[in-house]
Amino acid sequence: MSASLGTVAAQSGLTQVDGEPAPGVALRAEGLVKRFGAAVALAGVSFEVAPGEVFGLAGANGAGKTTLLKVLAGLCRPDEGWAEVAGADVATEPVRVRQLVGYMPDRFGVYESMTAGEYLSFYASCYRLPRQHAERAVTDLLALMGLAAKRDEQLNALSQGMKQRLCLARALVHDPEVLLLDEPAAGLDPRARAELRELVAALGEMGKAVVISSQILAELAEVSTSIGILHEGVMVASGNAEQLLAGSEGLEELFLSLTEREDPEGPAGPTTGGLAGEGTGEDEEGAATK
Amino acid sequence: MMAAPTATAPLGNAPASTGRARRSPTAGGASRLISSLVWNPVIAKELRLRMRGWHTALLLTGYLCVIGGVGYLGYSGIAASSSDVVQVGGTGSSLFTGLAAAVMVSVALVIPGLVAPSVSGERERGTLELLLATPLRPARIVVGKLVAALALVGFLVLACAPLFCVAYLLGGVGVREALELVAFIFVGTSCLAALSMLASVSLRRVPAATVVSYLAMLVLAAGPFTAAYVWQAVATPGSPTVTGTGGQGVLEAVSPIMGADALLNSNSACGTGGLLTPIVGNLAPPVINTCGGPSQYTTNLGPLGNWQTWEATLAIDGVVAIGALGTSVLVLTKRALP
Ligand SMILES: Nc1ncnc2c1ncn2[C@@H]1O[C@H](COP(=O)(O)OP(=O)(O)OP(=O)(O)O)[C@@H](O)[C@H]1O
Ligand SMILES: [Mg+2]
Repeated sequence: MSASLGTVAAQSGLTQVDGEPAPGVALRAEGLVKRFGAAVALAGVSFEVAPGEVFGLAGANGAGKTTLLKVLAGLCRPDEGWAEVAGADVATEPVRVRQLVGYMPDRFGVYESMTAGEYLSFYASCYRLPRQHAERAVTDLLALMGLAAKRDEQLNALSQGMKQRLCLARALVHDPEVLLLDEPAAGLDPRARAELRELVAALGEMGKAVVISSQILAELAEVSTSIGILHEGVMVASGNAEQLLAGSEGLEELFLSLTEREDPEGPAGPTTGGLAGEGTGEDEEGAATK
Repeated sequence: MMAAPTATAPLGNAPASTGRARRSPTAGGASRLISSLVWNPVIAKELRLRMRGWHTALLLTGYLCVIGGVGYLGYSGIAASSSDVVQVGGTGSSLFTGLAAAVMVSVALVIPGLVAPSVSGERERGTLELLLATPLRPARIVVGKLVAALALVGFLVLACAPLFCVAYLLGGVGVREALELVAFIFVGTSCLAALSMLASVSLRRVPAATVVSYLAMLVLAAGPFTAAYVWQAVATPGSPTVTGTGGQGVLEAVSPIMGADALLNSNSACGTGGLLTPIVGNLAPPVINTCGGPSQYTTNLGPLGNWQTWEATLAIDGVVAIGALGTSVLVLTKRALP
């Protein structure tokens, strides 16, 4: 990837979402509940993300991040509550949601005997991009991800991190308005992670709404304009990144204080209660002042 | 290296403007509607990946060796028993029968191995979720994979067309037999493929889906007539022969083996009803399937009349295929949105 990734992204086929932060929200969830048998993966999650906002999703293993992103990508039906992505309801219009969303799962496989170029072209055809536009998108995205030289190489010859970047390119191939990235940085080398942060920031500046989950909290705080902390299926804190982190030493400390396991007061402790209560309000403010 | 921003607008706004306009059937009329029905990126992808590996080349080679061997043995048998060209004339039907049986058996053995890994394999490798995350509907994915598998089988059948031409040149077979055989192989293959697809979408692992698909093939082939004979033996002890009438006859006709036997047997009887007779009856008179043969090659389908057994098989297995296909789509839809 080149050093000036932001400008490269801006010049690529990815479009600017029109001018000023669009009115309304790009993504809104209301009281999402998802159960797997007796286990409750999501216990009433509400939040919203404005166009141009990068929403960092933090949470322990099993907190429900992946489940939440799947629900938002139209891949998992919520048991209760509803969510809307770019104006489409995830439960009733999943096909339209899939058209508007770029989703990168936490674990995925690739067609090993395809070349990188074929891989992206195939997904471009799944989104029904006209052939010429698809070809340009593939060229641009491979360059953006620093994989231009691998275009004609079979995927089994690519490293895991390269596949990761290719999968990210795949999520961008139809130029979605909303991006849902589930731990995209896992497995990337430090340079690629830095470049990923730059890319995500650039996507936010283009006006796209990005939801990104990560376990590397320092990096998550750096890239996010707003942050949500999931704990056992509940969004225990969410809001503008600066405001949220103002009272603590960093996201890591905030995270640890909000998600203590043995603490009898647990996530419902005084600090937490305040933050959780203000959560959505701050979120809207953050979106408005963006 | 980057395209200018202005030139790239179509890519960018695809979901918002181009994408939606392209999907609207009202805008472009009938041709657009047809193209959106036929459009299926999965077919091209499946065929491309299939042709890339050495598996397909190996499969084709082995298959052609088997069919070629059968053809050679059949032909040398005919040549040995006839002293001159005049005597050889009209003996093509036995070569035709041998080749057709060999093609049917090979195709039946290939199909489960071809279809069973198609969805279960994507799940196992972790690519299914990415496919389901696109706007491709599960029905399109299932149909795309089936069409790709059937196209490969069609290729296998076409590849032995030259051998069938030898049978044709020897005389004794006509256009009608060729059409009947193609229709029968197409429906039988579709039925087996749809059952394998059901296993593929329902089971998580490729080995499990493959084993279940081959079991389904065995049950489809041998189950119905075994059950029909047992039924007959229990119902009328002492005369365990299924006559093509009653429930036993219909049950028996489910098996493609019975259908194939009736199709390829040169003494096969003509039914009064049927599928192909009304369509190609005048066009191509039967050469092998002359009327007046034993009644075990007809099946009484009640109100539908007395059909040739192989046509009954065609109809019943066609219904089974459509049922299995519909169920596969439902299962995958449920998987797509749990
Ligand atoms: N398909 C499933 N069947 C049963 N339980 C599930 C399923 N998927 C998730 N869960 C449960 O839902 C909860 C949330 O899981 P999820 O994968 O969303 O967590 P996560 O925050 O992404 O964790 P990680 O950081 O490990 O990726 C967990 O308790 C998990 O056991
Ligand atoms: Mg996860």
